[in-house]
Parts: sequence; C-alpha cells; structure tokens
Amino acid sequence: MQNRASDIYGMMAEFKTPEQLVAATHAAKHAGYSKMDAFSPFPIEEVIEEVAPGDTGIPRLVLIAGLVGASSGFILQYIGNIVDYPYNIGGRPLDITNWPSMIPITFELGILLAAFTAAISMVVLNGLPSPYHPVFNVPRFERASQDAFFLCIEATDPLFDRAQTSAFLRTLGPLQVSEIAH
Amino acid sequence: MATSTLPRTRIPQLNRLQMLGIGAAVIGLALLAVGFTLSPLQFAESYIYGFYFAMAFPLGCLGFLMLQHLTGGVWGISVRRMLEAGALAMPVFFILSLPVIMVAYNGPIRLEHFIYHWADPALITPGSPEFDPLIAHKVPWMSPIWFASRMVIYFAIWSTLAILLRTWSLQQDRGTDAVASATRMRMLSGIGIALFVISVTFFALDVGLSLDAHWYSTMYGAHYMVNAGLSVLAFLLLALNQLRTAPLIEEHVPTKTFHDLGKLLFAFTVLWTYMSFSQFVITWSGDVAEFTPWYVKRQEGGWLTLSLMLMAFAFAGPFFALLGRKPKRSLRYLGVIATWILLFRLVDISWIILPEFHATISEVSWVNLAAPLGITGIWLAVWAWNMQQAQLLPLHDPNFDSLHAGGHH
Repeated sequence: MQNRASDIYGMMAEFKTPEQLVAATHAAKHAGYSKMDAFSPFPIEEVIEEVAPGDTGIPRLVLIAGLVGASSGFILQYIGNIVDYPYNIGGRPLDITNWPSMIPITFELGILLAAFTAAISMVVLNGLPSPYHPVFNVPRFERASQDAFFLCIEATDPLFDRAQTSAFLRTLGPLQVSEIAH
Repeated sequence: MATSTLPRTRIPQLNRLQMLGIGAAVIGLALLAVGFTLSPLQFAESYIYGFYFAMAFPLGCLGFLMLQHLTGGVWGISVRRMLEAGALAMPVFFILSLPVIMVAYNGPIRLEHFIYHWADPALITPGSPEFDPLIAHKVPWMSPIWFASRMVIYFAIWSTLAILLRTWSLQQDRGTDAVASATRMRMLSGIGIALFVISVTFFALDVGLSLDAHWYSTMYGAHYMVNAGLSVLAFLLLALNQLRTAPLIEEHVPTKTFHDLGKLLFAFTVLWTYMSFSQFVITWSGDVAEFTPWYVKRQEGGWLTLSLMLMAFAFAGPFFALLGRKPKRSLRYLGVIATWILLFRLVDISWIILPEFHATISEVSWVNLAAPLGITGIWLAVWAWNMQQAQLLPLHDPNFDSLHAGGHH
C-alpha cells in the first residue's frame, strides 16, 4: 500500500512551453487520468477542455437565481403599485395590463441576482478563500503566474501510483517532476 | 498576367446556392410583376417592405466586415470572405433602391395615394384643407429631392467601403505586403464603422420610420442595425453548414468559430429584445399622444398576435435554445436555430412595416411576400457569385495561423 500514497497531494510536472503542456494534458487524459489540474500564466483553451471537471453546477445556480430575481422583482412592483398603492400616474392602467412598465425592474433584479450568484458561487465552490494549498510546496511554483507551465495529477485519481505516475510524467519531457507534500 | 490571377472557388455548394438565389429572384420578381398588374399600390408597398427586409443582408455584412477588421479574432477570419461577398452587393442594391425613390416621388407611375405621406403636396402646402403642420414642419428634410439625395449618399458610402475592403483583401491574397493591407483595412474600418452607424440610422429613418410621418423614435435605427446583425449571423451559420465540407473550410475552420458565432447570435437576440422592448416601454411610460399611435396600430386588427409571437418566438425561443454551451458548438444545431431566427426576421420586419399599409392583418396578401423573396434571392445570387471570385478564406492574413492555435494568442 506504500505506492497508494495518501500522504502526498499528487505529482507535479513542470513544462517549458504551452505547447508541451497541451501535449502533456492530452497524453495524461489519453492514459486515463481524470483528476488533473493545470497551471499556466494565461488561459489555454485546449488545456481547460481537458482538465475541466465537467459540470460545475454554476450555470444551473445562475439560471435559478436569475429567475428568482426576475419574478420577485415583478411581484414586488405588482404588490406596491397595484395592490397597495394604486395611484393613477400618467393615465396608465391600474391592473396587470400595466406590465410593460414593470419590466425594467424585473430585468434589473434578474440580472442582479444572477450576477451575484455567479460571482459568489464561483468563489465558494472553488474553496476560496484558502490560505494554504499544497501545490505551493512545489519548487518554482510561483513561476506559474509568470513563465512556467505545470500539470498536476492528484493522488485521489483512481489510476494514481507513486512510481508509475512519476515515470509516466517523465516520459512527457518535463523540466522537473516532483511529489507534492501535503 | 498570370501572376495577378487569383485562384477562384469552384465548388458545387456555391453553385447550388447561386441557383437557389436565382430561382428565388425569378419567382419573386415574377409574382411581383403579376402583383403590379393587379394593383400598383400593392406592388409598391410590397417593394418597400421587401427592400427594407433584404437590405439587412448587405448592410449586416458590411457592418460585421468592418467590425471583425477592428476586433480581430478567429470568427472574423473564418467568415471574412462571406462578409466581403455580401457587402459587395451594395452597387446592385443601389439600383434596387431606385423604385423606392420613385415611390417617394410618386412618379412616373402615379399610385392611388402617396405611400410616403410627407411627399404629398396637399399635406404640406399651407392653406390646403388637408394641411398638416406637424408634417410641414419636417420639410425640407422630408422631401423627395432630399430623400433621393440621401439615398445616393448612403449607397456611395457603403459601396466605397465594400469595394475598397474587398480590393485590399484580394491584394493581401496576392501575398504582397500582407501586413500593410491588414493595417489599411483596419484604418478604413475605424472610420467606416462610424460612418456606417450614422448612415444606417438615417437610412432606417428615411425608408422605414418615415412611412408614419408623425412618429419618431431615436431607437429605430439601432433596431434596424441589430436586425441586420441577426439576419447576417443566421445567414453565416446556414452558409457554413453548406460549405462545411469544402476543402479549405474543413481544413482550417475550428469549432471555436461556430461557438463564437453562436455566442454572437445569442448576444444579438438579447440586443434585439432590448432595442425593441426599450422603444416600447419608453413610449408606454411616456404615454404621449404623438408617440402612442404607432403602437396602438400594432395592437389592433390582428397585429397583436404578431407582437406576442415576436416576444415568445423571436426572444424567448432562441434565448433558451442558445443559453447552453454545448449546443453552441454544434454547427448543425446552430443551423436549425439560424433558420428559425431568419424566419422571425421576416416576421419582425412585417410587424414594423406592414401595419403602416394594412390596418388589419387579413389585408396582407401574397403580393406582400413576393418582394422579400425576390430581392433576397438577388442578394443570395450576387453573394454566391462573389464567393466564387476568390478563395474561401483569406489565407495570407497575418493572423491566419490563429485558426489553428485555439485563438488565444
């Protein structure tokens, strides 16, 4: 069981160029690895396609929040302008047929809730704020935001094996391969 | 001059589209001719409606052509040749605009009444029993001679832009000074897009909005531009569906292009809704007697059905159909949505123009549909012909390699 290694976070390989990172990600995916993450100074679409966890749930949350925002905006105005304070303003009708004038606020509240949900759920579901993360134990990792490209295979991957994964990553032409301590 | 001849595109798909265009043009114009013998007035009404609808294609192509020169991006390089071919129909559309000018003059064929009321001397001559001071106030801006002059100016601007951008793009194809050509096209597009927005706004006010000489809306021109954008995006996706198997397209155009066009189609759907609805809600909130009749007309005589259909099928339908990410990466799926959107462009323009001619929707006859069919057919045929005069992609564009790099550089 020593190779199953729950005492490390994963295995990290550093690459020199974005092309190498793209090729390595493709190779890792091809080899069957699924729990991966990549780090680069700028977003690389092909890499995102491979390492993205699929359904993040955020689109659904945003849609629900948008619909809740829109309907609450409409109901709020309906109660205020038609049920509780039915004032004649500019001769417009005092029933539901005055719906067009309620659309701007309905729209605004829909956008407001959707946007807040998108931003907040992105932060929360990413596990932020996170003062400590094991990947920063890798030497030179701070270069990931400047000129270095990293691919990490996590220890929770069903195929993960200390020796084999390390050997596999070495076949991809990295500058270095290191174990990530917890 | 063997060195200056450029490779042309001879593929069956373009031939088919050209035949389709010619077929639609012949059928449409034949029906229009029959309509003319039945009632010259109906012919003229159909022609204005058809011209306003079909003009969205060359205009949208020219607008997006300049836009993609300014923004760059994979989608722009992928569809540039299609946009050039569409915009290059501008001189043909100048000729097609002549009947509209004749209608404004109400001559040489005299119709039962003036379609553009502001041209009617009885309405603008002080002392006449039908004198309308509100319309008389708009003379001379609204007078046949200025209407005609402005049309000439619009088409001069648009034709010049389209021809210059195409010429320089073909120079780039010859491989000499590709970067200089790209810079030149970008510079012209910067000036051109400003001219475009101003001229298209006035064009829409002249041809469309002035049918109701009392009404005005500052959003009308923007609405027409967004309509043109939607029409052209939908057309591009349909054309790509046809051309997908062409060698150059298959080799170079990535999925990202369809995805980007899908995103633009979504954005323009929302923008169209925004323009249409804001115009309405501002009028609704203001509730001023001069502005409401335009909308009142569209809530009576069966036109309300069309208004509600536009909300449900021109906004809500495409909005939810294009919301997801996966569908936008499938060209076939986008083709279905694009067909739908094109159909509702026709409904939208009907809703904008036809209530000015017919108080009830039941008065609309087949003659009304002859002109949009015929004039759009002419445009499609010209487009397909222009497409065959050059290669399907600008292979010498300095950024051509970005098609293969995922577009992130």
